[in-house]
Amino acid sequence: MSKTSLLSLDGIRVRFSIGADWLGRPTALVNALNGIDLSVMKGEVLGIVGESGCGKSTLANVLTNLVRPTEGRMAWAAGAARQLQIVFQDPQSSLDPRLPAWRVITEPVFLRERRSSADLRCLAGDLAEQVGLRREQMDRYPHEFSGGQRQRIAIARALSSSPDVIVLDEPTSALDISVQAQILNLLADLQRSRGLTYILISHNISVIRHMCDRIAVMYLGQIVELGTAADVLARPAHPYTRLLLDSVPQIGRALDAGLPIGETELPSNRRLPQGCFFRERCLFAAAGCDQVQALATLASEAHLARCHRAGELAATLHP
Amino acid sequence: MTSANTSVLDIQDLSIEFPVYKGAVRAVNGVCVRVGRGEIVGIVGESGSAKSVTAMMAMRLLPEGRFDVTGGSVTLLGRDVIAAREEEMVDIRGRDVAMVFQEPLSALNPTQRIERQMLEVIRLHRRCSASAARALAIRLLGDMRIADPEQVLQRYPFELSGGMRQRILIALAFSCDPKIIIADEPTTALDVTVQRQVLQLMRAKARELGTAILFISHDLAVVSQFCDRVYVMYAGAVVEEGPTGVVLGTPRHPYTRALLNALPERVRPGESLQSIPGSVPNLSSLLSGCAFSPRCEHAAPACSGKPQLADVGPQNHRAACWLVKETLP
Repeated sequence: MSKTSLLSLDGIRVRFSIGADWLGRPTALVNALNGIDLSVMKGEVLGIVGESGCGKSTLANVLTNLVRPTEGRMAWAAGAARQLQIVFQDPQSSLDPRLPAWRVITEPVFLRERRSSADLRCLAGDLAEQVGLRREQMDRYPHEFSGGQRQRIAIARALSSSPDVIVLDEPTSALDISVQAQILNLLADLQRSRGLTYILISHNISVIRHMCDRIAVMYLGQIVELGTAADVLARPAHPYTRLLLDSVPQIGRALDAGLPIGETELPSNRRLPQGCFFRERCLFAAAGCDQVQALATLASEAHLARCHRAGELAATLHP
Repeated sequence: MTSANTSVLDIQDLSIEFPVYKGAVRAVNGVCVRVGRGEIVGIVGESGSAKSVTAMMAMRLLPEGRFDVTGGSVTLLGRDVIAAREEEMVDIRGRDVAMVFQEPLSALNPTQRIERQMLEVIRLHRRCSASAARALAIRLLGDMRIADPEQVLQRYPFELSGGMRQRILIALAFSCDPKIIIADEPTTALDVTVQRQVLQLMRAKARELGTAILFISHDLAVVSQFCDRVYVMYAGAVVEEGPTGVVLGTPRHPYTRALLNALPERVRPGESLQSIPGSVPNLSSLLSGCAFSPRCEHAAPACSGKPQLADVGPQNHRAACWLVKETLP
């Protein structure tokens, strides 16, 4: 893994206003992202895990410029082509039902370059073969493909403009296990052969473990732990990471195994908690947890956690 | 445990067709599923394996007149479900048999407070006073570890989180002391931390009351943690059954093996996953022989005949495969 940073996020905050009074002033705010600092390295697969409502998808929308951050900035490294594409969760609703597959796949190119139809068709055929579809299927419409094939079309579309970074937003959660295996193999092969950088957003820990070099764990719009996949999954340093890992169902492990669970609901992001955001649910909450926590380095420099007790809890938290 | 008089649900050789223009979709092809008293039984399969259709038919919730039962029988608490009149079914649904669906928001009425919805179900089946029903509702919500039940009763469904709504529906399912609860992907829409809690609560309550559960899921890991016995379905038929630990620990049918091998946790990170080649068969054309044989790496000439479930190990571990005795270790 090369160590050059391709894209960096600096103090990204996103607040959405909901409801408005008679003057149009917002009556309440949703704090979706609360200070995200992250750099994406060239050629890596960066995993982002967390429960629903933790801001994973808002982060994807910030990365793709679909949402403008309220504060903070996103910067590309010098020399990068600044191209970013996204593969969405649901291959049914993310493909235009009225366009044939070749138009769907080449739309990013069509919008930028206005190439001839024959040229685009040829490009679509080449990409289709790379993602395991046949050239002659390219005149079909999205509804004529199966779920797995549609996700292949979405991947081909993401590849068509030769992006530097592809954001994969839950790319396999709508698929069956056997199809998931095919799509994950395809994504891994493409990453190796084309030297792509992926940001893989998923709630499925086994998919993240399988695909990622580095993992960021998100909780209530913040990164609570960041490190290499091996560090985060085998030596979790934040109590929330441990809770998440314990909760992942595993074949052959008892339902009651792991640390006991307390209050399990994610608190509302309308009014943020004081101090550590995880304090209310944390089994290890102690004095000092009412202070705002910073993302601090641990034993190795690449492993960070947002918990002031991470050092002393290390032995307790390792599964 | 296996004698017929202790089973709450007994599906024998059930086949169901859905008529479509110039033909029929043969969704269920000879399914046998049995749930004993107080037993937690899982049905696991990919989309299109007919696991939900089987569960819906157990309560006859399929749209009336839109399906044909072409063979077999369904016996629920000693009643013939296929022949029963609709009034009989209405009487037992919600009382002796309860259902928990995948999407808790669409299972609750968005225009009514939780109190009114819970009391309606409880008073319909229990014929008790409103205050007694309300006390019961509060106790049930407390059992589901809902912190402030009185307050929750005054809420509308949209004001509650997904985990909270699903716990309310599970509380409601237990409200009339059912003999069996049919749960169709009850935790699929929930986060993993909430899922673990909901599963723990549901299992503890079922064990306490001796309620049987038929649990439908696509997630092998959840089934392995939750169920006593499991049925693996493929293309409308059961391909393997047995105690959960045995079936998922030492699977014998090539499909069960392929499904387990396709999981990302089966290989080291970065290694290529073993996917299953091909795709599920088209159920509107007539299937002959083993439905999995076109995708099976062990397929042999014998596979052109339809295999029956046969014992492959102790504790009623059974698989429907011609090769399971000879070639497959």
